[in-house]
Amino acid sequence: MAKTALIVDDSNSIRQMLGFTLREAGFQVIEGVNGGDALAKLEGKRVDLIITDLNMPVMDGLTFIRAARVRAETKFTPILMLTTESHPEKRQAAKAAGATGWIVKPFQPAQLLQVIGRVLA
Amino acid sequence: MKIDLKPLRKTFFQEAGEQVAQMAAGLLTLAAGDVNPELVNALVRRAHFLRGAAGTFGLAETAEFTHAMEGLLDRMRSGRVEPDRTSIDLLLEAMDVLAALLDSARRDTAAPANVAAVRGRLTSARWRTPPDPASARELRRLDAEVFLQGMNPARVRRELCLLRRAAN
Repeated sequence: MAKTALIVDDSNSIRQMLGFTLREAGFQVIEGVNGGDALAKLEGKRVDLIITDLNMPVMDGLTFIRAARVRAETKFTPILMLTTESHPEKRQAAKAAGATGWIVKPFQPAQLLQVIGRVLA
Repeated sequence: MKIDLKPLRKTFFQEAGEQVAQMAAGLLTLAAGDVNPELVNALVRRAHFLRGAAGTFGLAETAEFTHAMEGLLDRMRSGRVEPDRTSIDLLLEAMDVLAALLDSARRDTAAPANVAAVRGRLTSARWRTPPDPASARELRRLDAEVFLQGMNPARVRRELCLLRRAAN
């Protein structure tokens, strides 16, 4: 059965790029436009992977990860934080919130799939 | 697996166009004298988004240019550059270049000729702190002291230069 990924980003183009890459790699894709929207989309679903942006309106990535980590269905789901921040403190904050890893923008589809392969291994 | 992102750029260009319009409106508000931190913050965020997204869609020159814009806006946010006529005019000029750059990327034509020059000015724009008479007096006093204590003034000067460079 195909694995399901949830991608959370307020940018339409980045969601499209992530979705396209993941579908090409055989994933089923669910999209959320911010943390709050993503939590609603997760209602009653199990996903195999979550990729989330950091800066988003309504609910940012860190708040979303913390909320996802207290839900039984997503407690151990690999979560990748997508960010242009290369500052170590942002990575630390993502890790503390419960992120499994991060991808620094800009990234190439191949790099993205490589990181995903690593966290799903 | 080789994935071609070119067909997906259309959405990026649409989004980038919206960001450019919002940034231009924000800069015009700043130019009108309404310098509020939230506005500068929003400008930094938009430039930051454009940098990351342009790079992700393989538009290296646009990513580099918006990085320089983000840098200047970030220095404005932290008070290292004054949001005065000079810096705001430079940012408005940069917005024109950015719009032309995005347009050339969309049409797959040559980038505008002034990209590198404006990027260079964005990167080097600094607010020169006006000399503070009190600190100049203090420096002269220190100078006298180091002479009395037999220190090497050239070395002190070099360290001060390094400190100033680090502070900039």
